[in-house]
Amino acid sequence: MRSQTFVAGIFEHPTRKADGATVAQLHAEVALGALADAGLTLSDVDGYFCGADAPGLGVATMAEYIGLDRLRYVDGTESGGSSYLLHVNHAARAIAEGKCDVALITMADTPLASKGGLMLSGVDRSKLPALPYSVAVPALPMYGYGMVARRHMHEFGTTPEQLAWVKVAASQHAQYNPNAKLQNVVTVEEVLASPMVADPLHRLDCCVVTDGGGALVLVREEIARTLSRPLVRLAGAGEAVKHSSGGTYEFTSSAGVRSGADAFAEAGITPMDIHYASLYDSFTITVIVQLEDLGFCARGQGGVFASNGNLVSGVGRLAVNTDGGGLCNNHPGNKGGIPKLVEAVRQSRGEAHPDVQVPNHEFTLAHATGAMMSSYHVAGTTIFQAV
Amino acid sequence: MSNRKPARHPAPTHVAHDEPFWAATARGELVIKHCLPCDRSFWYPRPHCPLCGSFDTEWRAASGRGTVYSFSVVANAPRPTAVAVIELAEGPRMTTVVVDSDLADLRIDDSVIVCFESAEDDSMVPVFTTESAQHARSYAAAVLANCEERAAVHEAIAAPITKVTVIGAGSMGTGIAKSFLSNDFAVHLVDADQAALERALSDIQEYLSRLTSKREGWHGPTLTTSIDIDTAAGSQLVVEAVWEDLALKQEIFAKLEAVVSPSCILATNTSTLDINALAASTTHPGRVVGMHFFSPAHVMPLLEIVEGAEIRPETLATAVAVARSIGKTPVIVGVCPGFAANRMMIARNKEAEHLLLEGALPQQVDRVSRAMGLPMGPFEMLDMAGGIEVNVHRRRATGEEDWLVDALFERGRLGQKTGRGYYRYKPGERSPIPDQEVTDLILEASLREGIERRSIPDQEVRERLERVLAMEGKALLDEGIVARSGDLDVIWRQGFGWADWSGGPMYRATLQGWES
Ligand SMILES: NC(=O)c1ccc[n+]([C@@H]2O[C@H](COP(=O)([O-])OP(=O)(O)OC[C@H]3O[C@@H](n4cnc5c(N)ncnc54)[C@H](O)[C@@H]3O)[C@@H](O)[C@H]2O)c1
Ligand SMILES: [Zn+2]
Repeated sequence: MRSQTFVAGIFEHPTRKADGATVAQLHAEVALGALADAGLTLSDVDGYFCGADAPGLGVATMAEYIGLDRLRYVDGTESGGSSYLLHVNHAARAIAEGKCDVALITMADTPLASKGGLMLSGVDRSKLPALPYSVAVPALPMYGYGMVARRHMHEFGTTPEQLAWVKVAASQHAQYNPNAKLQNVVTVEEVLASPMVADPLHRLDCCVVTDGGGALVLVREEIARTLSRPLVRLAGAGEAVKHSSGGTYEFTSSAGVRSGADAFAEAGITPMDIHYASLYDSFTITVIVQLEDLGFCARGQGGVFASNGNLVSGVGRLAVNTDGGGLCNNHPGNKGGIPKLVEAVRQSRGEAHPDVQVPNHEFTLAHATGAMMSSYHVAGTTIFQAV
Repeated sequence: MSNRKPARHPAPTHVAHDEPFWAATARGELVIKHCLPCDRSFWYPRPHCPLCGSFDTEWRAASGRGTVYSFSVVANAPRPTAVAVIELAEGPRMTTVVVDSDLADLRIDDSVIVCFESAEDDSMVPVFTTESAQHARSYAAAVLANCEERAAVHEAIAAPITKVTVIGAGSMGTGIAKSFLSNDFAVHLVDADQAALERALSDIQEYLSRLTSKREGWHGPTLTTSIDIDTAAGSQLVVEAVWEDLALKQEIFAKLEAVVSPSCILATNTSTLDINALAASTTHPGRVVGMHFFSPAHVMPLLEIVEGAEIRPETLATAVAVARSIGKTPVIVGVCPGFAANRMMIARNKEAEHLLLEGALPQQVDRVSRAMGLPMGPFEMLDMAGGIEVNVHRRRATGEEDWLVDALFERGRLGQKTGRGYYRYKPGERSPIPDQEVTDLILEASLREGIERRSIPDQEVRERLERVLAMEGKALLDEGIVARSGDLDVIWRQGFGWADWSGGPMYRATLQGWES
């Protein structure tokens, strides 16, 4: 069945360090920002989505704070950085089934202003069932992704230089984004010269830490056609989970293999039809693995694909993260899902910065990996179509 | 297992079903869950099998052996730590850590073995170490035991010592006095400078009161002080630790010979002076011996016992026995500039400085040195010990030139004590911070030497430091300064804190096949 869900509004909070602001306040600001972008109001919203990092009881508390009083469909799915791609998928099903008409997704957090560190808020690590058997293991995500990078290098000959190219491409784009946390263009040499933090990952292989957030408004087709914004249809979506499977896992591919296949099948297109992709870039290696998982290149060729300049808009075959991505622009609350969706929609609308806008393309893709690729994680893929 | 105290891990939460797991780790064994219907082992433990859903599972002993599936090295960890996924010999992969191992050499598929470390609640937590680290540790333990056994032989002809005089109450003399006092030797401390004596006295008394409160029923032996060297009369052993000046030390020994009995042993803590020349100036050269302590003298376990040409066997035996009775590891070395430990270190430092001229920076050389198993690198150590000043003074005597060290010296960069050396330091802090001024000076030094700087891989830095240590060690053995190659590894372990997991400089040389 052809999806009837359209993206009506998007908003990325311009802040990168929100001293003095509460998380709830940021949720309201992004909600109102996305509704204004759509040309809708609070009273139009009847579906609401947020993650476990939202204050209080998530959807209930936020509905009250923001002022949503017509809700008849809510979803508080939490899967780390990919939560919001799953929300888009779930909202589309709800709209298709007539459970709601106008779905609002919000995300906000302040790891910097609240000194929350590098972990996700709203997640109680002390109850993780594997924890008693791994108390000696530093839990930071960079070590998990460091291990993914090392294994990828071992199996496919991927090099630190190839990983660095992902950052170089992001920095090429970030120079045009006045809100980006890091706007300076960097070279492969500079990435490799930055301090080693989780060998083989350097500091510049890691995303930024920022406060902020963003929101999306999804509506059914009839409503979208009454609004004055460019029409962007959700053409397909998929989600999948992969984990350690009792210790039988390998981690040179992710759950993105399955979420991507589902999304492409639903959209009825292939990776060759995509010329812009927002790919989750918690670390440079995350992008490399996802490029392969989604079929943009063959297994093991992600490094070569990146180092051939393919990710740079106007140069390569697949522009990736033209907002500067999590590596340079924004990774609010240690979750990169919302900016991924927002930039994909900007690209579909033709509203990306002119220097990075991909011309004449019909489909864009956004993809995220939540939690940790080296153990359990949740992938979400969405494909948008400019109508 | 390692030279440092192992860390205590956060306490794991215990639940009813995993009681056998913790009981096993307390015995030093790893057990994992096995599913009977699907005949597979799985990780992490839980009552049911996540592979088939059956509750028909049991605990089985695991070999504790496995291979590295992948790993990521934790930067700036207090001890070598890599987060790793280990594939157990029984099949399942587990996320864990590899510790106290040579992580620069760690590769995927390397063999590892489990070991257990305590958590805050005294549970034993499984972690892994490499087989090669385990091999190095066995070697380090064996050469240390061998060294101690050979030292013990000397006890047969050692003279009994109860009264010790230490001359010179500076930083070394103070530490030496502490070493004797804490091991129940009465000490008489002499310094020509009353103020130095008072400083030492209050430092030692504070140290002793800390010991007294820790050791039940211990009161500590007597400590006396004087500014008059003649009060050394009646001592059975005098350890001299005055300024590094041959004429001064000769004068001290001459004064001592006038008051002490002929059987009294005269030991010198000199680092650089010719002990044969010192002995030759005395009337009984057979009683002179070098007892070369390492700073801080009451902490570092190494004691080089320097054997001069005319030493009597009883003198040597007594020095060795005394060293053992104050808890030190005595290593007998012959007379040569720097003896064994410092001679190797000076050679290593020269190479380190040359690496700076060729393209390295202090922070790289120090980082690589730490990865080799040293608690600190050459430049951090020079900054800590005031090595820049020592270097300048030494070269004033020889006329040798060193533009870079002079440039640092002229800018008042004397090390930690001036807050700036090869690094800069925040007031009151000891962690080295790279400094642009030093980088600029190093670049200029390269230019002056006409050396075109290049980026030097860590691997090469390490190999060159290890090679120069091996070569100097080999020369010491060839010249007969040190009896056994293992003694050199003991020297680096006990004198400079070389970690067991990498064995020592000579062990490394053997691994690299540099025997000749
Ligand atoms: N500092 C080290 O790391 C180290 C390590 C091993 C050996 N050493 C050797 O130990 C010796 C002392 O070094 P230090 O660092 O303790 O020096 P220091 O300057 O801290 O102390 C020397 C002390 O000797 C005293 N002194 C000088 N002339 C004297 C005299 N005629 N009679 C009595 N006392 C006199 C001084 O007043 C001073 O207190 C030197 O031979 C040195 O080479 C030093
Ligand atoms: Zn089973």
